[in-house]
Amino acid sequence: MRFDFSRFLLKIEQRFRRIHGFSLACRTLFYASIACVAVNLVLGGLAPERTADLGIFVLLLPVMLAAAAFVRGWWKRPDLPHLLLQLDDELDSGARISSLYEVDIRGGGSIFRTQLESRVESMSADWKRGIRLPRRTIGLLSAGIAGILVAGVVLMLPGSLPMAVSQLPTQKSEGWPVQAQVMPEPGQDSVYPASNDVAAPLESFEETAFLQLPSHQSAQPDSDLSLDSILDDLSTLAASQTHVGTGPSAQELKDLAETQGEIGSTPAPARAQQGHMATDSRRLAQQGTQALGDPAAQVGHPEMEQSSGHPESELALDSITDKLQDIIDQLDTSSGESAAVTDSADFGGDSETRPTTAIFADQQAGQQFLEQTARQLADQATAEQESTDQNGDSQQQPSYQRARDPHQPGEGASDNIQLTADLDDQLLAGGEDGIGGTSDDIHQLGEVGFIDEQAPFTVGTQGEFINEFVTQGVPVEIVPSQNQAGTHIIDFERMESILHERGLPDEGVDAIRRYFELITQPEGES
Amino acid sequence: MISEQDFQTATATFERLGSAIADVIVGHQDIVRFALIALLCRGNILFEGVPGLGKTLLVRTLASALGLKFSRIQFTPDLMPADIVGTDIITEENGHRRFSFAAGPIFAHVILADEINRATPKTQSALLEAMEERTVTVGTNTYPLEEPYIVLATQNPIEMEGTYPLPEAQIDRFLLKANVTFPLLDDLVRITERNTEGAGIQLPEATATASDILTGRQIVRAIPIAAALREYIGRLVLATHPESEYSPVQVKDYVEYGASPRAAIALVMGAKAHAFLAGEINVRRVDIEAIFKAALTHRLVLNFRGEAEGVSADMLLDDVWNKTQAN
Repeated sequence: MRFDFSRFLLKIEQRFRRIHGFSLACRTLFYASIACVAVNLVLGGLAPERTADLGIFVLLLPVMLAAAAFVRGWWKRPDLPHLLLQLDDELDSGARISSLYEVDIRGGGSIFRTQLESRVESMSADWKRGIRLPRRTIGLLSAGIAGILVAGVVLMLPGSLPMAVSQLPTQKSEGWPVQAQVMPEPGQDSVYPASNDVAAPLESFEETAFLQLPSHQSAQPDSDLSLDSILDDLSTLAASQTHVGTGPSAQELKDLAETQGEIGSTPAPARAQQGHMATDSRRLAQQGTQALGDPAAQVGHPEMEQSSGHPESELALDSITDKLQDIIDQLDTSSGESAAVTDSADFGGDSETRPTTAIFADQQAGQQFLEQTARQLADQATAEQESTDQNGDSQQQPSYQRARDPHQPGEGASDNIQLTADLDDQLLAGGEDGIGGTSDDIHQLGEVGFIDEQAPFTVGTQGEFINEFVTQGVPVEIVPSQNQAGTHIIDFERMESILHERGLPDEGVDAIRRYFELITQPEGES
Repeated sequence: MISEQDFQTATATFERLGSAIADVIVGHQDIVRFALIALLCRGNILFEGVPGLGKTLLVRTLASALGLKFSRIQFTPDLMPADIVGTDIITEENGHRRFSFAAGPIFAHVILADEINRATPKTQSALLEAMEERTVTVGTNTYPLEEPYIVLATQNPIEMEGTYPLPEAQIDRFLLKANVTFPLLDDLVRITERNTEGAGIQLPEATATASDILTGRQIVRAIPIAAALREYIGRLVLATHPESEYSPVQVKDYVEYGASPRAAIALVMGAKAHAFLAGEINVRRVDIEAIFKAALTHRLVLNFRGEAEGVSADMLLDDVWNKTQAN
C-alpha cells in the first residue's frame, strides 16, 4: 500500500494543534491560577462573606480560560514547512519530511518523491516523538493545578487565609475588647446604637478611646480610687434601698473629687482611667435609672415611671436631665404657685456650689443641670418677687408633693428627710464644718471643697457614697440607727432658716425643699 | 525526467571521480569535494594557499579524471587579455588575407588560472564573461564555450608584491573559495613517498565524460530542498549584512558589505551538490553547513576596523552560523 503523505501530514497537524492548544492552555491555566489566588486573597479581604457561586466562579475561571486558550491554540493553523523541519530535526531524519512536503506541494513525480516517501514511511511509526509536550508545559500544568487547589483552599476554608487576614486585627485586639465596634459618626454620641446594654448610649467617645486601649492598661482598677467598690456598694444600695448610714470621710471624698477632676482634664495618658470612669458612669446611669423609679413613683409622674421602669431603654444623660427638669416644672405647676427663689449667688455665688443633689452619670452634666436649675429658680424668684410684692401671696405649698409625702415640712416629723442611696453621681459638697454644719456655714458657702472630716457613717452596710451628694452648708446630722453605720439626716428646718437668712424667698426655699423631698426617701420606706 | 537509473549512474560516476582524484591528491578531501561541487553547480572555484600545496596538481588531476580539455593559464603582470581569450590574426589562404580568430586558452573545459592575482585587473577581467556567461567576445564576435566549463583559479595569499587583488565583481563569480591548508604529517609523508618513488605522480585516466557531468548537473538541480531550509539560507546570507536585522554584532562591527544574492544561489546549489555527492536525495542542514564558509568567505568585505584588527571572514561566518537558527 502506497504511503499516504497527505494523511501523514494531517496527523502531524492535528497532533501539533492538540499540543499547541494544550501548551497554551497550561500556560493560561498557570497565570490564571496565580490571578485566581490573588483574587481570592483580595476577595477574602474585601468581601469575607462570599457566596458559593462567587467562589465556584472564581475557581472555574482559570479552567474556563484554559479551555478557551486550548481552543484558540488548536484553532491556530501551523506553519507546516517549519513544523516539518522541526520534526525532521527532532527525528534526525535529514529534512526528509520537509523535503517530501516540498516535492508534494510542487507536484509531479520523480525519483526523489518515491525515495523520500519510502524513507519517511519507514520512520512514520515513530514520528510522534518528534512532536512532544514540552516539559515546561507539564510544569506549568502542575503549577496551575496547584494554584487552583491553593485558591480553592483559600476560598473554601472558613478560617482561610484571607478571612484570617481580615480578622487579624480583631484577633489581635483581644487585649482591646471592643475595638471591633464601629466608631461613632461625627455628632453621634453613642457607639452602641443597638446594644442591649441600657447604659450603652452613655458611652462617650472617650470611653471608646479607652476601650481601644490594651486591656492590661485598663484591667487593673485604680486601687486609690476604689471607685469600683464604691459603685458596687451603690448598686447594692440601690437594690436594697437601704438608708443612709455613716459615709466615708471627707478627705476620701475630696480625694475622689480631685482624682475625677484630674481625669476630666488629663489627656491621653489618663485615657485608661477615663475609660474606666466612663464604664463606671455607664453602670451608674443604669443604677440611677433604677433609682429614679422610686422618686418617680413618689411623684406619680407617669412618664418618669415609664422611663425608670424600663432599664433596657436607652436613657441618655440629656433625657435624665430633661426628666428631672420636667418633674420640677410639674411640681411647680401643680402647686399652683410660683416658688420664690433667690439668686443662685445666695448659695455661694459659685456654680460649683449648687445646693442640689442630682442623678447624673457625668459630673459636668450635673453641673450644667445645677446651673440651669439655679438659673431657672433665680428667674422665677425674680419674677415671683415682683408678683409677691403686688399680690402678697407667696406661701403656697405644692399640694401634690404634700399629698404624697408624709414627711412634708410643716408636718413635724417630715422635717428630717432621709437621703436615698440610689443617687447616681457626685455632688459637690462643701463647708469646712462638714456635714451638719451650723449657721456659720452661711458665711462659708462661697468656698468650694469636700468635707474634711471623716464621716462616721456609711451608706447601708458598707457604702460611703452619700457624701458626694451633700453640698457645703447642707445641714446634715448623723443619728444612730439600727445599722452600724447610722442614719444620715438632713435637718430641713435648719436648712430653711439658713436659706431665709440669705434672703431667699419662701418660694425658693420651698422649691429647694421639694427638691430634697423628691430625691430623698422618708425613713422606713426602703 | 530523471530516472532512478540516471540517479544511480550519476552517483556512481562521481564516486569514482572522487576516488580517482583522491588517489593522486593526498588529503584535501574537502578541496576535492569543493571542486566537484563547483563542477556540478556549473560554477567556478578559487583555491587560495601558499605555493607547493598541490593546487595545480589538483586541477590537473580533476581535468584528467574528467577526460575533458584542460587549459592552464599562468597569470603574470604582463599577461594581456588577448593572451587569454584569443585574438584575430591575419591569415592567408588561397592568396587572400583575412582575419581569423585564434582562440585563447580560455577555450577549454577545465581552466586553471594559476596565480590569478598576479595579472592586472584588465587581464583578470577577461575571465568575467567566460566565468559567468560561458561566452567570450572578441571584437564584434561572441564565441560560446563548451560545457562543461569550469574555471579553477589559485592565488597566493602571502606574496603580495606585484599582485592585484581580484575585483569584487570577479571574486563574486567564484562559486566557492577553498583554502588549501598545509597537509598533516601523515599526508605529508605520503606526498613525499608518491613523488620520490617509482614513476612519480601518474594522472588518472578519465573516469567520467562530459555527458556524465551534465547529467549530474541535472540531477543536482532536481534535488529537493525544504522551503524552511531555503528560508534559512536566505537568513544566513542576510546575516552577513551589517544593516540586517539578522546579523550578529560582530558582523555589524567589522563588515562593510555582505554577501550578494549569488551567495544564496551558491549555498543552495552547493548544498544540493553536496547532498548529491553524499548520496542523499534531499538537502540537509549538514549540506548547507558543509559549504557555508566556502560559499561566503570570499564575498564578505571587511571594513577598515575589521582589517585593522585582523578579523577574518571565517570567524565572522562562524558567528553568523552559530547565531542563526535553522527553524
